Amino acid sequence: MNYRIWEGKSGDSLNSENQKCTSRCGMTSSRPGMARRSFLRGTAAGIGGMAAMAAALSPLRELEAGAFNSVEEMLQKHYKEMTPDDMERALARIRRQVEQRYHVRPEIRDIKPVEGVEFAYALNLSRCIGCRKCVHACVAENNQSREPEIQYIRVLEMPRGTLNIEQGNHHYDRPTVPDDKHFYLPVQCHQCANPPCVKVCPVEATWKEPDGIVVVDYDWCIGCRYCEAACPYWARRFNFATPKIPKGALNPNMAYLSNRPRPRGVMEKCHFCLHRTRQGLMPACEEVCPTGARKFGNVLDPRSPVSEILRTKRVFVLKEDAGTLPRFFYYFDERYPRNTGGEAPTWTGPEEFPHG
Amino acid sequence: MGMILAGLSAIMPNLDSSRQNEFDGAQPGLEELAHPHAEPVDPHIPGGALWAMVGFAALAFYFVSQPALPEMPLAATPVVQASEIAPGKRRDPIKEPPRIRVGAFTYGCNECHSLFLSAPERQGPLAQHTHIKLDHGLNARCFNCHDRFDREKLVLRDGSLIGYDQVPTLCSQCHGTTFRDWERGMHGKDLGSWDLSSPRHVRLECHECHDPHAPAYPPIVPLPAPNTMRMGTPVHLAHEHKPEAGNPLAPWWMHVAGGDGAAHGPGDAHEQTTHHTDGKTESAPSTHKEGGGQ
Repeated sequence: MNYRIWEGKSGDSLNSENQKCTSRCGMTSSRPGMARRSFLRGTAAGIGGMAAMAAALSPLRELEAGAFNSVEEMLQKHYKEMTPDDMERALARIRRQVEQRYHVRPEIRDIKPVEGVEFAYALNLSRCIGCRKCVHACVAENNQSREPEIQYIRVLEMPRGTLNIEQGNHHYDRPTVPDDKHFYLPVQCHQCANPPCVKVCPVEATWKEPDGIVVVDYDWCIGCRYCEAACPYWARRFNFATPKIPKGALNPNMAYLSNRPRPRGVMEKCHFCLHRTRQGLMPACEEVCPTGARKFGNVLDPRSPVSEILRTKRVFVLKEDAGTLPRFFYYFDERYPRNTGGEAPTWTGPEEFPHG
Repeated sequence: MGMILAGLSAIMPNLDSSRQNEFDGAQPGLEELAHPHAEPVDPHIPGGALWAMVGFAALAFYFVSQPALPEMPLAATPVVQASEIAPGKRRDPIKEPPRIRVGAFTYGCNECHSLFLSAPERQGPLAQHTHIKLDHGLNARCFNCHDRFDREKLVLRDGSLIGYDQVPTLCSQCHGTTFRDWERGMHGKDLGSWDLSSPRHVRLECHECHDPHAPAYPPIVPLPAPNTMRMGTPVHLAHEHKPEAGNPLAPWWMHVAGGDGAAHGPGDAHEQTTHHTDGKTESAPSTHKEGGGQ
């Protein structure tokens, strides 16, 4: 039999040589040539190796054009170490990237906290009717991904008589709200004064600002999701896919630390609309609330609504025992529940008023 | 790639040596060609290793042909119109007494009401002003707020008259605690700015949210619920009696078992009523609460 692939002479001579070789256990032959099995082995190893390489690299196929970071993005410094020139360059790059991707020229700035302002939020659970306007106003304001869906605020429909969050339902779907047997508990980032998410971040991509807002630098985040696991309120969201924002729905009013478009693989969260609130405007969720259940303001100002609420109402926070010291307070009005589903009271007195 | 090849060749000598004695008619291999005087090595490629490599290549091909991310069952994202989340006040009430237009002329209230004396107020349907739905609790009388003799004024309990632009004063006579809260910004709605000293700050008055004749805030239609599975099973899946249907995070037996009870969570006590479009109402098993209360 001829096992040789490389043939120098006629088959007969090879055969005889083969036999000779076999007879003296010819492992010391020095002739050039390659055994068929060796060739097969090498080829199979090569194919296998290449296939394994392709398999290992296959996630790269998911990358879109422009998904690779630019060199300046790679060399960018941490937010706190950036000089004004560095920040101007970073903003110019973001402007360029947003314009390339969304065909909208954004108004992006780096807005610093205001001196003497510390934000706090208060939410009146007697007034919230669970209409979810805050959820969707937040999505529109902050350029969250529509698919897959990312929402900072979740509204829990809670049975009356309990504050056990495990009994809440996110997916209530009623013809009209509110329902008489439930109350509604919106939950978003509580901007804790003792934030566990900041402690666990291995790269300091998230930190607490002087005005109390916990922010994320999307260019510094490595997407390890430790902060998501650490948050007791499930306030952080992860971009599993590149965010999809419908055409024309991009909000061009942006700030570096708030609502600029996020890449895939970074965390994001509520930031009290800092691009609005640091310029005196209301957060989008408060502005849109139809019942005025949401109150936002400067807790250092004793005349502000949140200060009045903290002083006079019986406020509480979620999971107080977690020791997170939230800046987000809930309260009920004195007369609660106002509406128990019964008939409205009717006048049963005399037919006519004395002076009416 | 070099690392992978090195790994493969590191495995293969072991495989070869295990079956070295079974093959006597060995042929010179690559190693021998490269190192003619080296110790002879069995150049055979055993069938097991070859099949392993073929299997590995097939597996690699399978992985490459598959999409890198599993197909997640995403429901269509509901579209929310910008008008539904537009901020602003709910009502645009009158600040002046209304003017009635009859033909080419407009008349104020008193131009008719001064001509005839009002009848004593009675409870019952109104003959005039029938568009007004009076649903103000106990306060079902016109002349509690409107002056009986000057219809373009509002009347306080002490008999003094105020204009239509001083509604909070009128309401505060009965709703004292609410008025107190409203003055301090704890009740009611502000617009524009959180900063009270800002010129953009606007505080809405009572009748810019509440209809004075029917002040209860009417129920409104909620905006769409979230689609994400991490908040429990969405309603459109809970309808199918399969709480875990389509949930890729659920264990495989949930998909096999369907909705035969094995997949029901411990939270069934709190039942959720789902509404069907055909009017049939059924009680679906409670959605799973994993992650819901974190």
